[in-house]
Amino acid sequence: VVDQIRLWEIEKNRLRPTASWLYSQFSRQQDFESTLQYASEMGVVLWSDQKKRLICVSSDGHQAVGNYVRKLINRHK
Amino acid sequence: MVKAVKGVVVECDSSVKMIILGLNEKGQFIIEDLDETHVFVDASCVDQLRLDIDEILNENTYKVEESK
Repeated sequence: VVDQIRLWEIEKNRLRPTASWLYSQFSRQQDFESTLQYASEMGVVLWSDQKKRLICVSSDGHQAVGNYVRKLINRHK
Repeated sequence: MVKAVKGVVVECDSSVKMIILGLNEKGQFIIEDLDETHVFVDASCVDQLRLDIDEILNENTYKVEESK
């Protein structure tokens, strides 16, 4: 049992890596929020931070989110 | 301009996160330090990172056993 607990402890410490894309440098808060909402609805957000304006999107969602961001930016041009 | 970077988001507990930060001083593979339990790294370093962390964690387990 002790061995099992130790194994479980080591296992618990291990890394959980996920291939993804990190979106950063949103100059407008509204672009960040809109992108985060879009990606959340698609269920592809792995991690995000409001203050730093960072969104981590799974590889599956990257293409759609990338297109969405491009549209947002072009709208402001 | 919004920037998108390809990589791997690694979730781990905060003690492993400290180990990763230490390893990064030698290797520089962290792209962005996200928070206490997440770090965004270069995809090519993940296998080596896992080996390094396993090695460090196993060393610690031995030390505990020896002190008994």
